[in-house]
Amino acid sequence: MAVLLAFFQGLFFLIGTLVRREQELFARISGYNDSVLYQMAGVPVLLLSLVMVSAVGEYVIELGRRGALEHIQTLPVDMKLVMGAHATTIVSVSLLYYFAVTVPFVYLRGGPGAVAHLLPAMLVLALGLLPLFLFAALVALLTLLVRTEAFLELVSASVYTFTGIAYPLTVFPQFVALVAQLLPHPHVAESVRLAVFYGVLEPARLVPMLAVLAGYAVFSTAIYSRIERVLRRGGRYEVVTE
Amino acid sequence: MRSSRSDLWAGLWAFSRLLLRSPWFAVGLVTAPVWSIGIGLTFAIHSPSLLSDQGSLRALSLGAGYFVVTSIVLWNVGHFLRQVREEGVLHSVIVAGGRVELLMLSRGITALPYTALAMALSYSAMVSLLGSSPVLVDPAGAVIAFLLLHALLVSVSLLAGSAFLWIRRPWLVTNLLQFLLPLSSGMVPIELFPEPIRSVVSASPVAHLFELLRRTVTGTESIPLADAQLFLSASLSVVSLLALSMVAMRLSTERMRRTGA
Repeated sequence: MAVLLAFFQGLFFLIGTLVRREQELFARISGYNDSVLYQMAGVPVLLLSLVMVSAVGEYVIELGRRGALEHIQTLPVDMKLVMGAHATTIVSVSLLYYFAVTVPFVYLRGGPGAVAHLLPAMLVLALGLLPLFLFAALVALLTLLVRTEAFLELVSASVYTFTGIAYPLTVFPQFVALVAQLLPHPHVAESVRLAVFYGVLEPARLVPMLAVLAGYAVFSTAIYSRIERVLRRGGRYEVVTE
Repeated sequence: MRSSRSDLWAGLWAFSRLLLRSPWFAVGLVTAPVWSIGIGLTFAIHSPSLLSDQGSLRALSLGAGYFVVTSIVLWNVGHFLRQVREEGVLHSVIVAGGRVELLMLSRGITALPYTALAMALSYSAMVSLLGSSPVLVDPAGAVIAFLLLHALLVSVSLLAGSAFLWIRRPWLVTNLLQFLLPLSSGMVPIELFPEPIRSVVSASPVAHLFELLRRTVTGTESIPLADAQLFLSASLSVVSLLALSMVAMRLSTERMRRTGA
Protein backbone atom coordinates (compact mmCIF):
# COMPACT_ATOMS: atom_id res chain seq x y z
CA MET A 1 0.00 0.00 0.00
CA ALA A 2 2.88 2.36 0.83
CA VAL A 3 4.29 1.76 -2.66
CA LEU A 4 0.99 2.67 -4.19
CA LEU A 5 0.63 5.86 -2.16
CA ALA A 6 4.16 6.91 -3.07
CA PHE A 7 3.35 6.18 -6.71
CA PHE A 8 0.32 8.49 -6.63
CA GLN A 9 2.26 11.23 -4.92
CA GLY A 10 5.08 10.85 -7.47
CA LEU A 11 2.64 10.80 -10.37
CA PHE A 12 0.92 13.99 -9.23
CA PHE A 13 4.31 15.62 -8.77
CA LEU A 14 5.49 14.56 -12.22
CA ILE A 15 2.34 15.75 -13.99
CA GLY A 16 2.35 19.03 -12.05
CA THR A 17 5.99 19.64 -12.91
CA LEU A 18 5.62 18.77 -16.58
CA VAL A 19 2.43 20.55 -17.57
CA ARG A 20 2.17 24.21 -18.49
CA ARG A 21 1.37 26.03 -15.25
CA GLU A 22 -0.57 29.25 -14.79
CA GLN A 23 0.59 30.20 -11.31
CA GLU A 24 -0.92 33.69 -11.24
CA LEU A 25 -4.33 32.41 -12.09
CA PHE A 26 -3.91 29.58 -9.60
CA ALA A 27 -2.90 32.06 -6.88
CA ARG A 28 -6.05 34.07 -7.60
CA ILE A 29 -8.35 31.09 -7.01
CA SER A 30 -6.43 29.37 -4.21
CA GLY A 31 -4.41 32.00 -2.36
CA TYR A 32 -1.20 29.96 -2.85
CA ASN A 33 1.53 30.71 -5.35
CA ASP A 34 2.63 27.19 -6.26
CA SER A 35 0.13 24.60 -7.50
CA VAL A 36 2.62 21.71 -7.26
CA LEU A 37 3.62 22.41 -3.65
CA TYR A 38 -0.07 22.95 -2.91
CA GLN A 39 -0.77 19.38 -4.01
CA MET A 40 2.35 17.88 -2.45
CA ALA A 41 1.38 19.25 0.97
CA GLY A 42 -2.29 18.31 0.80
CA VAL A 43 -2.59 15.18 -1.32
CA PRO A 44 -0.99 12.82 1.26
CA VAL A 45 -3.72 13.85 3.71
CA LEU A 46 -6.28 12.91 1.09
CA LEU A 47 -4.62 9.59 0.30
CA LEU A 48 -4.33 8.75 4.00
CA SER A 49 -7.98 9.51 4.48
CA LEU A 50 -8.94 7.27 1.54
CA VAL A 51 -6.78 4.45 2.88
CA MET A 52 -8.40 4.85 6.30
CA VAL A 53 -11.91 4.69 4.84
CA SER A 54 -11.23 1.56 2.81
CA ALA A 55 -8.95 -0.17 5.34
CA VAL A 56 -11.15 0.38 8.39
CA GLY A 57 -14.25 -0.49 6.35
CA GLU A 58 -12.83 -3.71 4.95
CA TYR A 59 -11.40 -4.63 8.34
CA VAL A 60 -14.80 -4.32 9.99
CA ILE A 61 -16.51 -6.17 7.13
CA GLU A 62 -13.96 -8.99 7.38
CA LEU A 63 -14.46 -9.22 11.13
CA GLY A 64 -18.22 -9.37 10.51
CA ARG A 65 -17.81 -12.18 7.96
CA ARG A 66 -15.83 -14.25 10.44
CA GLY A 67 -18.30 -13.56 13.25
CA ALA A 68 -15.56 -11.80 15.23
CA LEU A 69 -17.55 -8.58 15.66
CA GLU A 70 -20.16 -10.35 17.73
CA HIS A 71 -17.43 -11.99 19.72
CA ILE A 72 -15.77 -8.64 20.46
CA GLN A 73 -19.10 -7.24 21.62
CA THR A 74 -19.33 -9.90 24.30
CA LEU A 75 -15.82 -9.25 25.68
CA PRO A 76 -15.51 -7.31 28.95
CA VAL A 77 -13.43 -4.63 27.22
CA ASP A 78 -14.43 -1.00 26.83
CA MET A 79 -15.04 -0.37 23.12
CA LYS A 80 -13.53 3.11 23.48
CA LEU A 81 -10.29 1.40 24.47
CA VAL A 82 -10.41 -0.81 21.37
CA MET A 83 -11.06 2.23 19.18
CA GLY A 84 -8.28 4.18 20.92
CA ALA A 85 -5.77 1.39 20.29
CA HIS A 86 -6.69 1.23 16.62
CA ALA A 87 -6.61 5.02 16.28
CA THR A 88 -3.18 5.31 17.91
CA THR A 89 -1.66 2.72 15.58
CA ILE A 90 -3.20 4.20 12.46
CA VAL A 91 -2.27 7.78 13.37
CA SER A 92 1.36 6.84 14.14
CA VAL A 93 1.80 4.89 10.90
CA SER A 94 0.11 7.66 8.92
CA LEU A 95 2.41 10.32 10.37
CA LEU A 96 5.45 8.27 9.43
CA TYR A 97 4.06 7.80 5.95
CA TYR A 98 3.32 11.51 5.55
CA PHE A 99 6.85 12.42 6.56
CA ALA A 100 8.58 9.82 4.38
CA VAL A 101 6.56 10.56 1.27
CA THR A 102 6.31 14.33 1.57
CA VAL A 103 9.93 15.19 2.38
CA PRO A 104 11.48 14.48 -1.06
CA PHE A 105 8.77 16.27 -3.03
CA VAL A 106 8.55 19.24 -0.69
CA TYR A 107 12.35 19.51 -0.81
CA LEU A 108 12.39 19.41 -4.61
CA ARG A 109 9.70 22.03 -4.84
CA GLY A 110 10.19 24.30 -1.84
CA GLY A 111 13.81 23.69 -0.79
CA PRO A 112 15.13 23.05 2.75
CA GLY A 113 13.01 25.88 4.18
CA ALA A 114 9.80 24.11 3.24
CA VAL A 115 11.12 20.82 4.65
CA ALA A 116 11.70 22.54 8.00
CA HIS A 117 8.04 23.55 7.92
CA LEU A 118 7.04 19.89 7.94
CA LEU A 119 7.46 19.70 11.71
CA PRO A 120 4.56 22.06 12.51
CA ALA A 121 2.67 20.44 9.63
CA MET A 122 3.00 17.06 11.29
CA LEU A 123 1.84 18.43 14.62
CA VAL A 124 -1.30 19.70 12.97
CA LEU A 125 -1.70 16.43 11.12
CA ALA A 126 -1.39 14.39 14.33
CA LEU A 127 -4.38 16.29 15.61
CA GLY A 128 -6.25 16.23 12.33
CA LEU A 129 -5.92 12.50 11.74
CA LEU A 130 -8.15 11.71 14.72
CA PRO A 131 -11.35 13.10 13.20
CA LEU A 132 -10.35 11.47 9.92
CA PHE A 133 -10.12 8.14 11.75
CA LEU A 134 -13.47 8.74 13.43
CA PHE A 135 -14.93 9.54 10.02
CA ALA A 136 -13.57 6.24 8.67
CA ALA A 137 -14.99 4.32 11.65
CA LEU A 138 -18.39 5.93 11.09
CA VAL A 139 -18.30 4.99 7.42
CA ALA A 140 -17.41 1.40 8.38
CA LEU A 141 -20.45 1.16 10.64
CA LEU A 142 -22.69 2.68 7.99
CA THR A 143 -21.36 0.09 5.55
CA LEU A 144 -22.49 -2.65 7.92
CA LEU A 145 -25.86 -0.96 8.09
CA VAL A 146 -26.36 -0.76 4.32
CA ARG A 147 -24.70 -4.17 3.87
CA THR A 148 -22.79 -3.41 0.71
CA GLU A 149 -19.08 -2.80 0.33
CA ALA A 150 -19.83 -0.56 -2.64
CA PHE A 151 -20.79 2.11 -0.11
CA LEU A 152 -17.08 2.49 0.73
CA GLU A 153 -16.40 3.30 -2.91
CA LEU A 154 -19.10 5.96 -2.90
CA VAL A 155 -17.63 7.62 0.18
CA SER A 156 -14.07 7.43 -1.16
CA ALA A 157 -15.06 9.05 -4.45
CA SER A 158 -16.93 11.83 -2.65
CA VAL A 159 -14.05 12.48 -0.25
CA TYR A 160 -11.56 12.62 -3.11
CA THR A 161 -13.59 14.96 -5.24
CA PHE A 162 -15.54 17.22 -2.95
CA THR A 163 -13.14 17.99 -0.10
CA GLY A 164 -10.94 20.32 -2.11
CA ILE A 165 -7.63 18.84 -1.08
CA ALA A 166 -6.01 18.32 -4.49
CA TYR A 167 -7.47 21.60 -5.75
CA PRO A 168 -9.26 24.57 -4.16
CA LEU A 169 -12.99 24.28 -3.54
CA THR A 170 -13.47 27.62 -5.28
CA VAL A 171 -13.64 25.79 -8.64
CA PHE A 172 -17.04 24.43 -7.61
CA PRO A 173 -20.38 26.18 -7.35
CA GLN A 174 -20.83 27.73 -3.91
CA PHE A 175 -23.25 25.11 -2.55
CA VAL A 176 -20.73 22.31 -3.15
CA ALA A 177 -18.06 24.27 -1.29
CA LEU A 178 -20.45 24.90 1.60
CA VAL A 179 -21.39 21.22 1.94
CA ALA A 180 -17.71 20.21 1.77
CA GLN A 181 -16.93 22.49 4.72
CA LEU A 182 -19.08 20.25 6.92
CA LEU A 183 -16.48 17.48 6.62
CA PRO A 184 -13.22 17.56 8.59
CA HIS A 185 -11.01 16.90 5.54
CA PRO A 186 -10.76 20.40 4.03
CA HIS A 187 -9.93 21.91 7.44
CA VAL A 188 -7.21 19.37 8.18
CA ALA A 189 -5.64 19.71 4.72
CA GLU A 190 -5.79 23.49 4.78
CA SER A 191 -4.07 23.68 8.17
CA VAL A 192 -1.34 21.27 7.06
CA ARG A 193 -0.87 23.26 3.86
CA LEU A 194 -0.61 26.55 5.74
CA ALA A 195 2.09 25.05 7.92
CA VAL A 196 4.03 23.72 4.92
CA PHE A 197 3.87 27.04 3.06
CA TYR A 198 4.42 29.45 5.93
CA GLY A 199 5.80 27.31 8.75
CA VAL A 200 3.69 28.98 11.41
CA LEU A 201 0.55 27.81 13.02
CA GLU A 202 -1.58 30.89 12.61
CA PRO A 203 -3.91 31.17 15.62
CA ALA A 204 -6.55 32.76 13.41
CA ARG A 205 -6.60 29.58 11.30
CA LEU A 206 -5.76 27.05 13.98
CA VAL A 207 -8.47 27.98 16.48
CA PRO A 208 -11.38 27.51 14.05
CA MET A 209 -9.82 24.24 12.93
CA LEU A 210 -9.55 23.00 16.51
CA ALA A 211 -13.17 23.99 17.10
CA VAL A 212 -14.29 22.12 13.98
CA LEU A 213 -12.24 19.05 14.91
CA ALA A 214 -13.56 19.01 18.49
CA GLY A 215 -17.12 19.45 17.23
CA TYR A 216 -16.62 16.71 14.75
CA ALA A 217 -15.23 14.38 17.40
CA VAL A 218 -18.25 14.93 19.67
CA PHE A 219 -20.72 14.60 16.80
CA SER A 220 -19.18 11.47 15.33
CA THR A 221 -18.84 9.77 18.73
CA ALA A 222 -22.54 10.38 19.38
CA ILE A 223 -23.54 9.11 15.92
CA TYR A 224 -21.15 6.17 16.26
CA SER A 225 -22.75 5.01 19.52
CA ARG A 226 -26.21 5.37 18.05
CA ILE A 227 -25.47 3.38 14.90
CA GLU A 228 -23.56 0.78 16.87
CA ARG A 229 -26.61 0.28 19.10
CA VAL A 230 -28.89 -0.09 16.08
CA LEU A 231 -26.51 -2.69 14.61
CA ARG A 232 -26.28 -4.66 17.84
CA ARG A 233 -30.00 -4.61 18.66
CA GLY A 234 -30.99 -5.47 15.11
CA GLY A 235 -28.60 -8.42 15.00
CA ARG A 236 -26.88 -6.73 12.04
CA TYR A 237 -23.43 -7.86 13.10
CA GLU A 238 -24.46 -11.35 12.02
CA VAL A 239 -25.45 -10.28 8.51
CA VAL A 240 -22.74 -10.70 5.90
CA THR A 241 -21.84 -7.56 3.98
CA GLU A 242 -21.47 -8.21 0.24
CA MET B 1 -17.00 -30.40 -26.17
CA ARG B 2 -19.39 -27.43 -25.93
CA SER B 3 -19.78 -25.13 -28.89
CA SER B 4 -18.13 -21.70 -28.89
CA ARG B 5 -21.46 -20.04 -29.55
CA SER B 6 -23.19 -21.61 -26.58
CA ASP B 7 -20.25 -20.63 -24.35
CA LEU B 8 -20.53 -17.05 -25.51
CA TRP B 9 -24.32 -16.90 -25.03
CA ALA B 10 -24.15 -18.55 -21.63
CA GLY B 11 -21.55 -16.02 -20.55
CA LEU B 12 -23.50 -13.06 -21.91
CA TRP B 13 -26.68 -14.17 -20.17
CA ALA B 14 -25.06 -14.94 -16.84
CA PHE B 15 -22.92 -11.80 -16.67
CA SER B 16 -25.79 -9.50 -17.69
CA ARG B 17 -27.85 -10.84 -14.81
CA LEU B 18 -24.94 -10.64 -12.41
CA LEU B 19 -24.17 -7.07 -13.41
CA LEU B 20 -27.74 -5.86 -13.02
CA ARG B 21 -28.15 -7.52 -9.64
CA SER B 22 -24.89 -6.25 -8.23
CA PRO B 23 -24.96 -3.13 -6.04
CA TRP B 24 -21.61 -2.22 -7.62
CA PHE B 25 -23.34 -1.43 -10.91
CA ALA B 26 -25.70 1.18 -9.47
CA VAL B 27 -23.08 2.61 -7.13
CA GLY B 28 -20.51 2.56 -9.93
CA LEU B 29 -22.74 4.75 -12.09
CA VAL B 30 -22.89 7.30 -9.28
CA THR B 31 -19.21 7.17 -8.41
CA ALA B 32 -17.99 7.27 -12.04
CA PRO B 33 -18.79 10.97 -12.55
CA VAL B 34 -17.61 11.81 -9.04
CA TRP B 35 -14.20 10.20 -9.62
CA SER B 36 -13.87 11.72 -13.07
CA ILE B 37 -14.52 15.23 -11.75
CA GLY B 38 -11.91 14.74 -9.01
CA ILE B 39 -9.24 13.24 -11.24
CA GLY B 40 -9.85 15.74 -14.03
CA LEU B 41 -9.57 18.71 -11.68
CA THR B 42 -6.44 17.32 -10.02
CA PHE B 43 -4.55 17.67 -13.31
CA ALA B 44 -6.37 20.70 -14.71
CA ILE B 45 -5.82 22.90 -11.69
CA HIS B 46 -2.24 23.67 -12.75
CA SER B 47 -3.72 25.46 -15.78
CA PRO B 48 -6.99 26.90 -14.49
CA SER B 49 -7.77 28.61 -17.83
CA LEU B 50 -8.69 25.12 -19.12
CA LEU B 51 -11.78 25.30 -16.94
CA SER B 52 -13.03 28.54 -18.47
CA ASP B 53 -12.46 27.54 -22.11
CA GLN B 54 -15.48 25.54 -23.34
CA GLY B 55 -13.56 23.31 -25.79
CA SER B 56 -10.76 22.53 -23.33
CA LEU B 57 -13.21 21.81 -20.53
CA ARG B 58 -15.12 19.35 -22.72
CA ALA B 59 -11.92 17.64 -23.86
CA LEU B 60 -10.69 17.43 -20.28
CA SER B 61 -14.03 16.02 -19.05
CA LEU B 62 -13.99 13.35 -21.73
CA GLY B 63 -10.41 12.51 -20.72
CA ALA B 64 -11.50 12.12 -17.11
CA GLY B 65 -14.32 9.83 -18.31
CA TYR B 66 -11.71 7.81 -20.18
CA PHE B 67 -9.85 7.26 -16.90
CA VAL B 68 -13.03 6.05 -15.21
CA VAL B 69 -13.93 3.67 -18.05
CA THR B 70 -10.39 2.24 -18.06
CA SER B 71 -10.66 1.64 -14.35
CA ILE B 72 -14.06 -0.07 -14.65
CA VAL B 73 -12.92 -2.44 -17.40
CA LEU B 74 -9.64 -3.31 -15.70
CA TRP B 75 -11.31 -4.16 -12.40
CA ASN B 76 -14.40 -5.86 -13.86
CA VAL B 77 -12.83 -7.82 -16.67
CA GLY B 78 -9.12 -7.97 -15.81
CA HIS B 79 -9.67 -9.35 -12.32
CA PHE B 80 -12.52 -11.64 -13.24
CA LEU B 81 -10.41 -14.61 -14.34
CA ARG B 82 -8.55 -14.68 -11.04
CA GLN B 83 -11.82 -14.28 -9.14
CA VAL B 84 -13.47 -17.27 -10.86
CA ARG B 85 -10.34 -19.31 -10.28
CA GLU B 86 -10.45 -18.53 -6.55
CA GLU B 87 -14.14 -19.47 -6.48
CA GLY B 88 -13.38 -22.80 -8.19
CA VAL B 89 -15.58 -21.95 -11.20
CA LEU B 90 -12.67 -21.83 -13.62
CA HIS B 91 -11.72 -25.38 -12.78
CA SER B 92 -15.24 -26.57 -13.63
CA VAL B 93 -15.24 -24.63 -16.91
CA ILE B 94 -11.91 -26.12 -17.97
CA VAL B 95 -12.91 -29.66 -16.94
CA ALA B 96 -16.19 -29.32 -18.89
CA GLY B 97 -14.20 -28.35 -21.99
CA GLY B 98 -15.46 -24.74 -21.99
CA ARG B 99 -13.59 -21.98 -23.83
CA VAL B 100 -12.27 -19.65 -21.14
CA GLU B 101 -11.35 -16.90 -23.61
CA LEU B 102 -14.95 -16.77 -24.85
CA LEU B 103 -16.23 -16.66 -21.31
CA MET B 104 -13.93 -13.72 -20.63
CA LEU B 105 -14.88 -12.06 -23.88
CA SER B 106 -18.55 -12.26 -22.92
CA ARG B 107 -17.63 -10.64 -19.61
CA GLY B 108 -16.05 -7.82 -21.61
CA ILE B 109 -19.09 -7.46 -23.87
CA THR B 110 -21.54 -7.29 -20.96
CA ALA B 111 -19.46 -4.50 -19.44
CA LEU B 112 -20.18 -2.34 -22.51
CA PRO B 113 -23.48 -0.77 -21.35
CA TYR B 114 -21.83 -0.08 -17.99
CA THR B 115 -18.83 1.70 -19.52
CA ALA B 116 -20.96 3.59 -22.05
CA LEU B 117 -23.25 4.88 -19.31
CA ALA B 118 -20.30 5.69 -17.05
CA MET B 119 -18.56 7.63 -19.82
CA ALA B 120 -21.71 9.56 -20.76
CA LEU B 121 -22.48 10.41 -17.13
CA SER B 122 -18.89 11.38 -16.33
CA TYR B 123 -18.56 13.66 -19.33
CA SER B 124 -21.95 15.34 -18.87
CA ALA B 125 -21.66 15.74 -15.11
CA MET B 126 -18.20 17.30 -15.16
CA VAL B 127 -18.98 19.68 -18.01
CA SER B 128 -22.27 20.74 -16.42
CA LEU B 129 -20.93 21.14 -12.88
CA LEU B 130 -18.15 23.40 -14.12
CA GLY B 131 -20.55 25.70 -15.89
CA SER B 132 -20.67 24.53 -19.51
CA SER B 133 -22.90 22.20 -21.53
CA PRO B 134 -22.00 18.84 -23.04
CA VAL B 135 -21.97 18.49 -26.83
CA LEU B 136 -21.94 15.49 -29.17
CA VAL B 137 -20.61 16.62 -32.53
CA ASP B 138 -20.82 13.34 -34.47
CA PRO B 139 -23.07 10.76 -32.72
CA ALA B 140 -22.46 7.90 -35.17
CA GLY B 141 -18.69 8.48 -35.17
CA ALA B 142 -18.70 8.69 -31.39
CA VAL B 143 -20.49 5.32 -31.10
CA ILE B 144 -17.92 3.67 -33.39
CA ALA B 145 -15.00 5.32 -31.58
CA PHE B 146 -16.37 4.27 -28.19
CA LEU B 147 -16.89 0.68 -29.35
CA LEU B 148 -13.27 0.60 -30.51
CA LEU B 149 -12.09 2.11 -27.24
CA HIS B 150 -14.07 -0.42 -25.23
CA ALA B 151 -12.70 -3.29 -27.34
CA LEU B 152 -9.17 -2.02 -26.77
CA LEU B 153 -9.68 -1.76 -23.02
CA VAL B 154 -11.19 -5.25 -22.91
CA SER B 155 -8.16 -6.57 -24.83
CA VAL B 156 -5.75 -4.89 -22.41
CA SER B 157 -7.78 -6.28 -19.49
CA LEU B 158 -7.72 -9.80 -20.92
CA LEU B 159 -3.97 -9.56 -21.40
CA ALA B 160 -3.58 -8.26 -17.86
CA GLY B 161 -6.06 -10.89 -16.61
CA SER B 162 -3.91 -13.68 -18.06
CA ALA B 163 -0.92 -12.27 -16.22
CA PHE B 164 -2.91 -11.71 -13.01
CA LEU B 165 -3.24 -15.48 -12.61
CA TRP B 166 0.48 -15.74 -12.04
CA ILE B 167 1.39 -12.62 -10.07
CA ARG B 168 1.02 -12.04 -6.36
CA ARG B 169 -0.44 -8.54 -6.17
CA PRO B 170 -2.62 -7.94 -9.21
CA TRP B 171 -4.44 -5.05 -7.52
CA LEU B 172 -1.19 -3.13 -7.42
CA VAL B 173 -0.67 -3.55 -11.17
CA THR B 174 -4.27 -2.56 -11.86
CA ASN B 175 -3.92 0.59 -9.79
CA LEU B 176 -0.83 1.60 -11.74
CA LEU B 177 -2.27 0.62 -15.11
CA GLN B 178 -5.54 2.49 -14.65
CA PHE B 179 -3.57 5.74 -14.40
CA LEU B 180 -0.68 5.05 -16.75
CA LEU B 181 -2.76 3.88 -19.71
CA PRO B 182 -5.05 6.94 -19.97
CA LEU B 183 -2.30 9.38 -19.02
CA SER B 184 -0.01 8.09 -21.76
CA SER B 185 -2.74 8.31 -24.35
CA GLY B 186 -4.15 11.79 -24.10
CA MET B 187 -6.34 11.84 -21.00
CA VAL B 188 -4.78 15.19 -20.02
CA PRO B 189 -4.84 17.52 -23.06
CA ILE B 190 -1.41 17.11 -24.68
CA GLU B 191 -1.17 20.86 -25.41
CA LEU B 192 -0.21 21.24 -21.76
CA PHE B 193 2.93 19.11 -22.12
CA PRO B 194 6.33 20.06 -23.55
CA GLU B 195 7.12 19.11 -27.15
CA PRO B 196 9.01 15.81 -26.56
CA ILE B 197 6.15 14.33 -24.53
CA ARG B 198 3.64 15.64 -27.03
CA SER B 199 5.46 13.83 -29.86
CA VAL B 200 5.56 10.54 -27.94
CA VAL B 201 1.86 10.67 -27.07
CA SER B 202 0.95 11.68 -30.63
CA ALA B 203 2.66 8.55 -31.96
CA SER B 204 0.79 6.16 -29.66
CA PRO B 205 -1.97 4.15 -31.40
CA VAL B 206 -3.94 4.12 -28.14
CA ALA B 207 -3.82 7.92 -28.13
CA HIS B 208 -5.16 7.84 -31.71
CA LEU B 209 -8.16 5.91 -30.49
CA PHE B 210 -8.95 8.38 -27.75
CA GLU B 211 -8.31 11.27 -30.12
CA LEU B 212 -10.91 9.78 -32.46
CA LEU B 213 -13.44 9.71 -29.62
CA ARG B 214 -12.56 13.25 -28.54
CA ARG B 215 -12.99 14.61 -32.07
CA THR B 216 -16.34 12.92 -32.60
CA VAL B 217 -17.70 13.98 -29.21
CA THR B 218 -16.27 17.45 -28.63
CA GLY B 219 -14.99 18.50 -32.05
CA THR B 220 -11.57 19.47 -30.62
CA GLU B 221 -8.33 18.24 -32.20
CA SER B 222 -5.04 17.56 -30.42
CA ILE B 223 -3.15 15.22 -32.75
CA PRO B 224 -2.39 16.49 -36.27
CA LEU B 225 -3.70 13.46 -38.18
CA ALA B 226 -6.63 13.06 -40.58
CA ASP B 227 -9.74 11.20 -39.37
CA ALA B 228 -9.12 8.32 -41.79
CA GLN B 229 -5.55 7.86 -40.54
CA LEU B 230 -6.71 7.91 -36.94
CA PHE B 231 -9.43 5.38 -37.67
CA LEU B 232 -7.03 3.05 -39.47
CA SER B 233 -4.41 3.24 -36.74
CA ALA B 234 -7.03 2.77 -34.01
CA SER B 235 -8.69 -0.21 -35.76
CA LEU B 236 -5.37 -1.93 -36.38
CA SER B 237 -4.31 -1.56 -32.77
CA VAL B 238 -7.67 -2.91 -31.52
CA VAL B 239 -7.60 -5.94 -33.84
CA SER B 240 -3.99 -6.82 -33.05
CA LEU B 241 -4.43 -6.37 -29.29
CA LEU B 242 -7.63 -8.43 -29.29
CA ALA B 243 -5.91 -11.25 -31.17
CA LEU B 244 -2.95 -11.07 -28.81
CA SER B 245 -5.19 -11.18 -25.76
CA MET B 246 -7.07 -14.22 -27.08
CA VAL B 247 -3.76 -16.03 -27.59
CA ALA B 248 -2.57 -15.01 -24.10
CA MET B 249 -5.82 -16.25 -22.58
CA ARG B 250 -5.51 -19.55 -24.46
CA LEU B 251 -1.92 -20.03 -23.32
CA SER B 252 -2.83 -19.23 -19.72
CA THR B 253 -5.68 -21.73 -19.80
CA GLU B 254 -3.42 -24.39 -21.31
CA ARG B 255 -0.84 -23.77 -18.62
CA MET B 256 -3.50 -24.08 -15.92
CA ARG B 257 -4.77 -27.31 -17.46
CA ARG B 258 -1.25 -28.69 -17.61
CA THR B 259 -0.09 -27.63 -14.17
CA GLY B 260 -3.45 -27.95 -12.41
CA ALA B 261 -2.90 -24.47 -10.91
